[in-house]
Amino acid sequence: MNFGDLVGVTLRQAAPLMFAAYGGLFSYHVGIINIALEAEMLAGAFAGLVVTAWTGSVELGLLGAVLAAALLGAIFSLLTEGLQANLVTAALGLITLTIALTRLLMWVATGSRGAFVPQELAALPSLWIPGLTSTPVLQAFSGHSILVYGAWLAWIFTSILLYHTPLGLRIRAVGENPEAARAVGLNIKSVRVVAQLLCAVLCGLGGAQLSLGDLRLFTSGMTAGKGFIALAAIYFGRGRPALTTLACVLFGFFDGFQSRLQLWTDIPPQLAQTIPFLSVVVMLVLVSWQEARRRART
Amino acid sequence: MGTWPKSFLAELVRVALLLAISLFITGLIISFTGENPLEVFRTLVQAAIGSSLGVAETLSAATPLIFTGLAIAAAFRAGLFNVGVEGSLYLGAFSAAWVGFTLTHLPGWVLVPLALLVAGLVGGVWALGPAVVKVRYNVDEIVTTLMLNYVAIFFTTYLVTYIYGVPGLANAMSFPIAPQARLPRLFPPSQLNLGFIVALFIALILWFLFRHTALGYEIRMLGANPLFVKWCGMPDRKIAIKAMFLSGFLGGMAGAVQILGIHYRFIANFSPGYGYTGIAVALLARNNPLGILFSSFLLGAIYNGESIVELMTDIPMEIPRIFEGIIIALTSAELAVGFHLWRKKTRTREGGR
Repeated sequence: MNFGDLVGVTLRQAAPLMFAAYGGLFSYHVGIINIALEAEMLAGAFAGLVVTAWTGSVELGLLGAVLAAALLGAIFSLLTEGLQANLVTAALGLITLTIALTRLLMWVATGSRGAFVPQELAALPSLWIPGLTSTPVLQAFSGHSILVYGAWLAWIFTSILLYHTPLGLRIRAVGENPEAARAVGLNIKSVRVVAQLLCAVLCGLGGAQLSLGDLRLFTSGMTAGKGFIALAAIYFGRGRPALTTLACVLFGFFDGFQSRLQLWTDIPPQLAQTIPFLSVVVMLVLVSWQEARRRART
Repeated sequence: MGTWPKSFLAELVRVALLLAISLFITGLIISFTGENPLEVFRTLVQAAIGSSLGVAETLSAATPLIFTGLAIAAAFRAGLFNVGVEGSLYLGAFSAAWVGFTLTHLPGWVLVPLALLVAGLVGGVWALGPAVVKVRYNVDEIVTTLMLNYVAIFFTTYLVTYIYGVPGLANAMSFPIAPQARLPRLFPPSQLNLGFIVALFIALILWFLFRHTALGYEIRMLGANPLFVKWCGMPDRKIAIKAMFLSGFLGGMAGAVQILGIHYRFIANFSPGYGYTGIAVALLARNNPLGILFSSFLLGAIYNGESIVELMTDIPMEIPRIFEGIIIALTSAELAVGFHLWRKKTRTREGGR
């Protein structure tokens, strides 16, 4: 058992969750339960890898990931704001559609059905922090793809945008009291659309970390509920960026832990794989139970 | 209720419009793959309903969708988004297989109902956890039920890989069920089996339940107006839990019918997502049990036809899912738009007065 290795894998597993959760915070604060996170991440993962493989440029790949996710965000906004669709069913439909469409496009583009593993893919640059590379344990913080560090920058970006800018104020105002926001002259729909697009862009980056950051491949449905886990992190943090980050790191830890558990022990892999999903449910229940208890006391 | 024919007509128009738009978008996507969409649709319809054997296979494909559609509808009617039908389905399927290969000394007329019942109970109990924490601590049921789907799929795979599995097979599967536990085939060589008749029967029961029983009324009221239910002093938490149990029960039966009628053993990852397709089935029928018979036939036809189309055109099995996704995404949207147009019309009429 290697402690440093566990820290490293936790950081890498947490990064996609963090991006998606910060994106989801914009939706959360504008008053939208957004389960389309899952679809937006998947679109980002797919487009990021395919564009990188085609053009040989990671930068263009990232752009592709962001644009594909933003396109989905725009469609989601069109459905929910333009056509007044139900938030949950619109998102569930988009998830089903995105899983199928990425599989179909993968087949059209590469002829393969289950997975797309490009040869000699241009990689996301890794960041080696000078001074840490040879320090035991601390070296686990060095040498990850730039998006792993980008996820922590996204925390700062999200916190500042939400709590220290006029746009963030508008987003929270619309979420807290739409009628009052309308009364002071805010265009509620356009604020919601802006929040949705911000959300999609961050989800696209999270997806890109999944396909480009670590594994450098795309498999069908590779997000495997990560969008929902990000949503759970938001619930866990009750919309606060710091607690949401903590939840993402914890969920990332459980994900890394189960993969290492399979390496270190004879545990059946299928049982190990249930750990991250169970941990999400258990933590969500614990935090809601505490909340309910506190509310009952006051 | 007096304008029943009118609302029925409006319903037909709604479904036709929804299907037309979904087919159009699906066609656009097909043409992107280089195939002729009209040709694909023609092959699909031909394969699905062009022969009596095709119809039988379509009914067979529709059978699990009737169950999962009803399962989704039972929860949706109560205003609960149970995305966990897939998990109930897997655990129900495994339980049915377990009964089928363990209690082999029982005669068929005991074994089959027992397997269905156990599968339903296990599926229902599986849905209880999310239901209880939802009503007690307000934990979002969408997230918990979806997370538990993964747990159910991994767990059943574990069971047939390590404990009840046939060793030496690449595809993890359980021992076969006893011959007398099999549901008889109705139209060989198609896979249509007695499960379809059971599904029709259950749909009728659910129609009756929603229409004519107190529980059905409570579930509908809870979905339509939860605050009203609370203020009336109805036990809103109990109603929600009952609805989720019913939903999981039907999901478990869906899995059991597939095992007893088609596969005759539990196979890891056997479901292509019946639990999720049930969402499209239920929404298309607006959660009406009798409507679900039609919508499940439609989606069953697409799944059945698609398997033939795949052989002929080489397009992977994605067309039904794409179609399904568009239906799910649009189904609540188009309603609202129709309503807005109607309101605008009445408003302009009033304005002209």
